[in-house]
Amino acid sequence: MTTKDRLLKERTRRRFLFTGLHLLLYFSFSLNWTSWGSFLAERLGATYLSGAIVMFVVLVVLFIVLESVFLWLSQREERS
Amino acid sequence: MMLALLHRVVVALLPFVALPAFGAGAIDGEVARQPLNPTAIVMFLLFVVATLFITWRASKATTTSSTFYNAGGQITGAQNGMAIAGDFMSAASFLGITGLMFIGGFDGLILSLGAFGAWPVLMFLFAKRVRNLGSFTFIDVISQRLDRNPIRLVTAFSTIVIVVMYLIAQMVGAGKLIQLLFGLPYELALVIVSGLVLGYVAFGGMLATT
Repeated sequence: MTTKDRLLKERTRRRFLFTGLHLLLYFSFSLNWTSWGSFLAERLGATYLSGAIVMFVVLVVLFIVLESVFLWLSQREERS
Repeated sequence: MMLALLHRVVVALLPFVALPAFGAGAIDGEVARQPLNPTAIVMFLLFVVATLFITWRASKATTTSSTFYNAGGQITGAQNGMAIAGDFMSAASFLGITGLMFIGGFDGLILSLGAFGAWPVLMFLFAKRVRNLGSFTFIDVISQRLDRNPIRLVTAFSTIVIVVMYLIAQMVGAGKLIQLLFGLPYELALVIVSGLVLGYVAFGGMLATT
């Protein structure tokens, strides 16, 4: 296997890893409609925020972080 | 031959895409005419003039397919991100998501997560390929590997269906805004907004819309 092939495999693996992780996080939101995710319906302390809203915000932030890490890795690879 | 036919069908159908907005009953209630608000009207007109000026400037730079579809690749990630955020905070989102949450409660929130869910996947899997292949759309990329005609038919059909759904909410929101601001008839307001948007896109391409 040439270096080029190995690099190609590595990039493809990374793409699928990030996609898989992202989809896993995305579909984890469906916990809100299952009995396993009943804890998400509870309020956060004395606030009006529910666990589901917090999860929504955390997921959006995580998506942005995932994208940033992916871009950073790609740019680092292009530079080297 | 088939592609040319498909292209003609799509182009012929495009002007009718916004037509359902005329019959949309999403906001049927009587719109009470607000007291004249000169500040709001002046701000709105300034915005229109500024965007038309940008479109005019952009149309001078839009000379090739590349500049029309992707602004010649001169838009930075941050600029594009802000433009996408602006798209996302549209009348369709405000009306659609708040409406869904009003009807279905928390279940409506899943729709707003959908956009956040879709874009990163496209970026992980397609962004670099689109750039490397010199393509403009995701359809161009998958057409390289799959049978072109069926895939283009399916994607053109699904695009039109989705755009019609999206555009109805968008046009109703924009039409109602003009109706409220200027007291114009709803149908006329829709025609004005549609004309402005068509002008931005047709003359300025990606540079003006961004």
